[in-house]
Amino acid sequence: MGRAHRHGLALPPVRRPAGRRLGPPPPTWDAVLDRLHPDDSPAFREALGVAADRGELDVSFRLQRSAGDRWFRVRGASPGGDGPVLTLAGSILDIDELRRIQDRNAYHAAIVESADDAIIGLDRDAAIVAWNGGATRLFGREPAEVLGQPVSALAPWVRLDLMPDLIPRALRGESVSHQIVEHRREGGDRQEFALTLGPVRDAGGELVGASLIARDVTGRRAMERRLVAAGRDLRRRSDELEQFVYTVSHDLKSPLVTCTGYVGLLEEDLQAGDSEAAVDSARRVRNAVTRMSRLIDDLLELSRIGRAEGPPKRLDLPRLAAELAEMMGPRFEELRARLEVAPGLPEAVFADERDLSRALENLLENALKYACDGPGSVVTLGGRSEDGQTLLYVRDSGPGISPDYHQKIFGLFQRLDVSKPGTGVGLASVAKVASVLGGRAWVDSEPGRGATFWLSLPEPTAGDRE
Amino acid sequence: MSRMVKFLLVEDDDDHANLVKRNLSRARVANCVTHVPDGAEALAYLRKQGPHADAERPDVVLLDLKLPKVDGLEVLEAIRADADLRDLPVVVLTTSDAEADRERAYQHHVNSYLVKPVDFEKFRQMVNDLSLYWGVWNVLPPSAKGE
Repeated sequence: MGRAHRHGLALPPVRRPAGRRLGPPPPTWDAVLDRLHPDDSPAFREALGVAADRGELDVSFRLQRSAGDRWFRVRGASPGGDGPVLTLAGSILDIDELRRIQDRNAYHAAIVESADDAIIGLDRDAAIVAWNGGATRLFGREPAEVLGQPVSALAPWVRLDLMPDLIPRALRGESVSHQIVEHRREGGDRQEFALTLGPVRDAGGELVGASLIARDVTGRRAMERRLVAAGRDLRRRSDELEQFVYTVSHDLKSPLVTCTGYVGLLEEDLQAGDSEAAVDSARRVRNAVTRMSRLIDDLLELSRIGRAEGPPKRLDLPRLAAELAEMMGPRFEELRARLEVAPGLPEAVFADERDLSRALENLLENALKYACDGPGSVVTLGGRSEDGQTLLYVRDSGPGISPDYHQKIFGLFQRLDVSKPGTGVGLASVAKVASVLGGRAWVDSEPGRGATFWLSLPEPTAGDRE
Repeated sequence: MSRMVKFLLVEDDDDHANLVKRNLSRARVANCVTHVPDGAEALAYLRKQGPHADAERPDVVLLDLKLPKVDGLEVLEAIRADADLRDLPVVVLTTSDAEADRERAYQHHVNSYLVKPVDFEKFRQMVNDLSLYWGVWNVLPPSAKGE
């Protein structure tokens, strides 16, 4: 095996790609061996060995030059003969440009392959022609399973029905970025992707397909939602604080003005010997102090709403309603009114028991105070499930409330009827219970037609219960 | 020099209304006070509506801010938006000195903004000064004389 190779073999002229200016003269065989890049030397010598055995040579190698290394490819065949000199007919090709392009392509391909994002190439018919490692990781499918398949093969994992026009638009040459689409893994977990689609053109600018880049934003979106919720919570708390300060400046000072005012008048009444006026002044002072103490208690109660540890719990709603009816019923009977619990209550509701009981109790107290004006008055506690939320209501047959005040009455210390005892905290705390649970409180009423107070509580999703 | 001043007192707190009236009755200037407990009734009185058809136009309105139904600032807005009532002097008399309240009151051209003192002597002094100022020093617009 293996003949000795003699140098000085005649080399064919070096051909260059058409249209290129001729560079330096073609290298001679000796020059080739002198300047052969050490890294390519073993392969070169091995190829020569093969050429000696089989009469065929095909090898690529770098020649070291002062202006930088260049790639060449030598291909040739021996016409045969068994002389001591290996003669080849063939070509030396300057492939430097080509090799650089290939290296750059390989480099880009490696970047694409190792990217975290799924990068998918589509041809003009929206068939999948490229599928990187990111796509395999994200969609859990190997390139062999999807290459050549229409893009619709991504369904049902990617909800293509949610973006019917995106791919056609990209294939028409439009760029579409950051559309959020949902996706469900086979395990059933919901994921969310940010999609970027764009046209792909060849070197001549001809549209040859589209690229689709999908980034998993499930975690980020969940975080964004938590941030928004936290921001809402913060705003609510800051509004509450502002409202509270306002309250202290007004509603808590009010009874103080009364106290100091009437204590001053009391002194004068006593000096003047006007006992009737003195008794009146003393009574007003006592009432003001009592009212102040109740205000403070109610405000503390209001501040406790929403302090429950952990997420809302599943409550047995019919049991809760029955307990409330049992507790409050006798007070309705005293006024010869009736408290009823409507049938068909939802089996369960998610809330903090103390908060929800207190809210319903407040609504029933109000009905008792403002809407039970004698025999025949009926108050109904009821509820139903609707569109992923629980709706609870307290309906009365009282005088009703003008729409002008429907919003106002839920404000802290807002009172419509000052002839009845109360601090104006009840409905504000009902509204707070609803908002803490992500729902709301409102009233449906017209003067003369009774009132229905509503409380909506969203049913929590699996994600919310994590 | 002095004359009788007709006050309309808009105040939901019965104790405070009584406190103002008792102190006004001791003031050095003769005056008369009509008391209404909320904003809606105040506007009905000023517009001579319903049971207030025979109401006399007051010289000065003493207006609390936190009122049931229609609050004090809304009453002030309504007065300033009403061609017949626009020039009526309005004095806010409230326990709140919240900046937002003060700012809004002045934006609606309140004539004066008084915070009820938590002090008997100061309260009495303030009410006395009120009747002195409106009864002696201040010259009312022509519309107040029922011309």
